[in-house]
Amino acid sequence: MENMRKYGFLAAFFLVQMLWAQRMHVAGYVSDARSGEKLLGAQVCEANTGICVITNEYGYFHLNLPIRDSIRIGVSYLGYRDWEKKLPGHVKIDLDVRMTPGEKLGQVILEVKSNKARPERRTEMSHVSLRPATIETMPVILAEPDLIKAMQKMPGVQSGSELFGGMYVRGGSNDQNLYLMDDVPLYYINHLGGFLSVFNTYAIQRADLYKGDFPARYGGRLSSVLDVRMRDGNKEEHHGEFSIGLLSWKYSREGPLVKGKSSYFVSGRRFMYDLLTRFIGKITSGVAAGYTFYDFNVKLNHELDSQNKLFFSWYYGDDAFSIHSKDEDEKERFRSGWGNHMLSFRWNHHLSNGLFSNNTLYYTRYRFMTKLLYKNRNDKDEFRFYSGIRDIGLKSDWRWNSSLNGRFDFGAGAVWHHFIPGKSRFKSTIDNIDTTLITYHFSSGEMYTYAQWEKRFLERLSVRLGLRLSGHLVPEKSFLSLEPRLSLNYRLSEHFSLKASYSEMQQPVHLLISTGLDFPVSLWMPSTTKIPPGRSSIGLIGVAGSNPDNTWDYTVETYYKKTKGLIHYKQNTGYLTLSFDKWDNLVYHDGTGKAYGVEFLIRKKKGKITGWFAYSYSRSFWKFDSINQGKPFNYYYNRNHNIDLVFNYQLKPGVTLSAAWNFGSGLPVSLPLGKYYLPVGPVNMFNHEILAYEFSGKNNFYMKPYHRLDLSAVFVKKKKHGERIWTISIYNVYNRKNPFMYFESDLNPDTGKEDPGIYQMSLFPIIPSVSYTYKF
Amino acid sequence: MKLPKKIFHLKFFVFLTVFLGLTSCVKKVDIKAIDEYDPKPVMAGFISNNEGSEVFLSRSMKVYSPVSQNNTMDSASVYIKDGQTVLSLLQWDDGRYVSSFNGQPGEVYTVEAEFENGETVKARVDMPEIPLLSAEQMRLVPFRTQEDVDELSDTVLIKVHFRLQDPPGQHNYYQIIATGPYGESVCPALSIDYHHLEPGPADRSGFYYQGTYFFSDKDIDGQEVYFNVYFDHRYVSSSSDYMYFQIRQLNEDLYRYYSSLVRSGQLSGVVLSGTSSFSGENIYSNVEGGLGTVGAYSQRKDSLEWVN
Repeated sequence: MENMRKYGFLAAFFLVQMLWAQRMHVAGYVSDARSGEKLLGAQVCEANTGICVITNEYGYFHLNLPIRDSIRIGVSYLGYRDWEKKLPGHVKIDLDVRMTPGEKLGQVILEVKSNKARPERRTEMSHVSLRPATIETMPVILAEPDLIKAMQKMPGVQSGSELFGGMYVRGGSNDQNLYLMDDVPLYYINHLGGFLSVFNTYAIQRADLYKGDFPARYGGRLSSVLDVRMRDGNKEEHHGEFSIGLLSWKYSREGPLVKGKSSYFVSGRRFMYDLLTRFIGKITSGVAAGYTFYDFNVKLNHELDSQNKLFFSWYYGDDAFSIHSKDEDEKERFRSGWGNHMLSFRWNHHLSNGLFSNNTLYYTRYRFMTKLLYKNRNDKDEFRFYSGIRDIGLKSDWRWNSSLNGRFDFGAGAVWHHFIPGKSRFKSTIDNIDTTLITYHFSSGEMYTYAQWEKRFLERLSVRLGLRLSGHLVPEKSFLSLEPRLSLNYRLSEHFSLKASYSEMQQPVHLLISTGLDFPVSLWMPSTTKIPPGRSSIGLIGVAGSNPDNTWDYTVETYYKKTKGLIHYKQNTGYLTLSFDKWDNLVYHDGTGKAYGVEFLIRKKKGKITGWFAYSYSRSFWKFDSINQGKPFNYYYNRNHNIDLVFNYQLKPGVTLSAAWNFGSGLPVSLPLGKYYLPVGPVNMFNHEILAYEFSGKNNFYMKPYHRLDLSAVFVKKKKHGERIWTISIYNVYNRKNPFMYFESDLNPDTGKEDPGIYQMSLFPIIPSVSYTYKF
Repeated sequence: MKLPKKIFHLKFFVFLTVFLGLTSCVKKVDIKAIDEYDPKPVMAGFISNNEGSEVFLSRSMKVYSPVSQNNTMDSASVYIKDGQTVLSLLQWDDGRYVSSFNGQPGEVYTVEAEFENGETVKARVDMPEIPLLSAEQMRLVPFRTQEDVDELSDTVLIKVHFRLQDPPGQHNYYQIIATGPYGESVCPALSIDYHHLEPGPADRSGFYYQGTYFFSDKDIDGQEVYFNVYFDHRYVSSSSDYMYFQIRQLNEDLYRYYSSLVRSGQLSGVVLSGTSSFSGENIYSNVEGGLGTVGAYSQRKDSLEWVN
């Protein structure tokens, strides 16, 4: 009763404050002056009061200020000149801030008392933000910049094994990451088996990774959220660029549709080697085989008026492998393809009191398909296989900034998932057959609502409280989940703060993955009556700070994460043995996980030399009653120690040199020590025997450490009609033979001679590469 | 003509990259733990209630030892002891020791082997009870799992109806075996997905291994359970109109042995360390001082005639 009275009083207090306090509302967008592109995460401050806010995911800000005769607004954003304006005081002021790229010009009005972009000032933890400029200068394999490869250089984010795509965040698996492209989930993010991700760097405006301390608007995965915002397109001028690299050829074009009001952005890329292999194969053997990938991004936006904006995003991408053979009598054709298709419509609306909303309707689909065709003079046989997942979602996110009462975020959404794990069709003209062999469909629904409140108290303490309620509906069962979120930041001194947070997340969809490799035949499945959604909770404690001129900043974070509801294929089962209607019988689903660690990140953000040093110590264990005799074992793709050193040096205008060094302690493996004959017949034990292996234990042996140095140089030169860029990269400069896999062999694979032992396979030696880009 | 020159450079890089990228490297690694591995004695076998007893003795070796190496252990002394009497097994073949001794359900035995070098290994063996189960009928059933399944197949299944009384208050483990008149399996792995166990308790807590089905009473403890098992007609010998149907009750060690065997992925004989597809689990052992498992089973075996 006492508590109720207390909370009632507090609620009434805030309500009165919100309704009756006489305030000024200064709101608007911050954008690039040349292109009109919105700037996300820019700091907007009022100099007299020291009140600051950060622009949201759409470049929008709202300042709620006490009434004054005049105000001084200042805006700062890394890589842009500070913007300042003195304005007479009005109850409502709309601002359109256009910032010019370049270095700061001496006078900076608002290094004010606060700089919200500094890590010690932000309430949140475990948040990494990358922009294309950072991604593009990073040395990478085959001179092909990639968002996921760049994220893997952040503490707490690992790449698993070499060649694998995706991310392994704080001991979690790749399917525990929510990948969002313009607010829409993507279920498969690899091209070329993981060499590249589906996020074309041309099209990226900004990417935010949340490794813990999740804002309440995010949910649906256990380990992380990668929120990628795509470029809107230049509203003032037409521009474009193309690039020829060893992995792909890329092209993009952007410009105004109605100058200053609406714009378009289109980009596409393609892997070209298949043209070569098809041609050579056709000439030499009559069999044309090739592998390719391609993707397209389209974005349109239109400003209806100062309060309403519309956005349309489209993405289509595929990987495809095909073999064609043809002679006089017969023709054979095999094609396999997999990829995403995404569509979204968004409506941004803000009210005069600073209430901002983003409403999204979307469709996303991932599918894997195979088609086999045989044709001769008398017969035509055709086999098709299809599997995939489709979502249709609707969501509405709201934000209200009140400088007095803090920031409120709230919203709701609904998603309809449709799973098609397997559908086959066989047609034969000679047997007059046309039949669907297997068809299974599952549908499930997901609904959620959330609310979050963030407030600063007494200048030093800031608090963020959130709650997310989600429901997952499957046939015969519904799962309800309440996910609390809490973040605290206490500033011990001007540039040093202590932080803590706690988050819970739920994952209603499961990835059936038999090999650990994120192959396209991995299947997404819903929770079932037997297999409930996965659940995780993560607690964090850390410190953050920066030096006075904000050249350097650093964070140290420790975490402890628990997960339950993990699944694992039973041995000797997998995609090929999967009976789709009873898939939940083929997995162990009582898995629990435990991960803990500490992460350090020190960044130098300004000057000729920039870069960062990241170190993480991470342990991750899984436990299933039926695996490893019920004892916990090391998670497959977790390296206990990981160091990343990234270094960029601007040698002179137009020339940037970069180096990146990565060290990771060995991946855990199950190493056989001995072997022995064992009778194993199921009816009569002695009818059948095998050579069994004796292991030191499941995943308790570590392969040799992984380390490599990559270098790159970027040469930019102004040309008559634009700018040309040469990027030269060397991957694995000192040609380290990093372990990919251990195996036992009686013969030396190199010499073919008898030499029994354990052999290590390494994948990538030193690889130089180059790419050419022209911007116009 | 700058462009052709640039294209030439690009081609060179393409060639170099493809060449180097495709040349993955393999090298031998020395692993101290393997070098220091100490081979262990291995004992595996069973005691049955009506098929005698058998034990196999061998010795493990370092993982990269030549597989041709003969590691069976001959001239050992192998005993079955029940506390009062000691029974000696005779060597029948390389490393293989046999006896016509049938265990008594409910009894506890110790199987012990003494090697020529003085090493000894032993295992405790609990004899399980004979399962309380009857096969009540057996007939051919035109069977479709779903309307759109098997349209191309002329699958006709044999349906056998069972009634099983599971003893309450203890863990019990079962194995279902169906064989043709010459011992051939009638439930090969490829047709397993089409066999349904109803009402389904075994579905939840069992596993298939080479056409036999293992399950525990985890979900049916103490209950009388009815269920149907379907066998694929095409795999039963066409020259005969009957088959053998066996239900075994296994002791826990034997169940865990087969269970770990299937889970470990070792039946495929592939060892890859570095990919999660490989379980890397040891096969269950109940042998003190060594590897392997000596288990026990009690079984009923019925000859059943099918009705066309």
